Amino acid sequence: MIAQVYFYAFSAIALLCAIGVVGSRHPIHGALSLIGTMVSLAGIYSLIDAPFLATLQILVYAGAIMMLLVFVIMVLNSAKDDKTPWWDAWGYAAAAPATAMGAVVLRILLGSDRTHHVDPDPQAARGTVAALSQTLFPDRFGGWSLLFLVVGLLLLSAIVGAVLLAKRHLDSPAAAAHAEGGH
Amino acid sequence: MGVELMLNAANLSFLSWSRTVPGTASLEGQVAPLFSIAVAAAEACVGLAMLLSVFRSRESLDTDAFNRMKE
Repeated sequence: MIAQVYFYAFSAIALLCAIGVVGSRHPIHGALSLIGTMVSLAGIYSLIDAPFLATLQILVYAGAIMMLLVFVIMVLNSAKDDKTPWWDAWGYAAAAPATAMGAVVLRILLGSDRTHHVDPDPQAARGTVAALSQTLFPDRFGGWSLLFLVVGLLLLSAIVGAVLLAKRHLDSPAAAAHAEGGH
Repeated sequence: MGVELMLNAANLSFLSWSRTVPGTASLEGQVAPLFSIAVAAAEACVGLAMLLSVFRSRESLDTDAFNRMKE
């Protein structure tokens, strides 16, 4: 019963913040709304028997990715966007698939059996770190362990790629000006 | 930022599916969001690095101005 109240609260906050992300004029307002969305989604994750994923969501998504986004917005010194109109020709092109998708989601929501309660399995410790690691690494190299290692490699290559893309070249004028200013 | 919203929506779908499946098979539905979060982190990192390097040559954040491949 109390879980339903929490669910409605979290989902309302998530929806409002998500609308705020796409509807805000200033990028920082959008980023802060996105943080609100992430945290409320983490609350929903913890309500549906996924506490490890809720923690991971806050640590990685709201803590690392959003921090990166906020820092990049601050570095790029982006200002309030007054030039993008609320509605232009693109709006009509975007409204059609958006309403179609919304109709599909509404059809599923309203047509489903809402009196059906999913009874939580009393003996399954779902979503805990122990249970999740049993699923990920069932034996020595089985299950998802290979994918896990590949994801580690992916993150490493992302770091290398990001550093390569964002660093200043040593012979560019911006780097020369930087070096001049340092002396 | 919209991409992050979409990836979060996919994660939520995975988790809600795993909640409706009885038994321990549902933990497969929690592995997918785990990898999705990791991939989203990598993609956000590289995307923002690209944005930084494009901004240095463009001095504007309006994506309508990014209409030339590498000048």
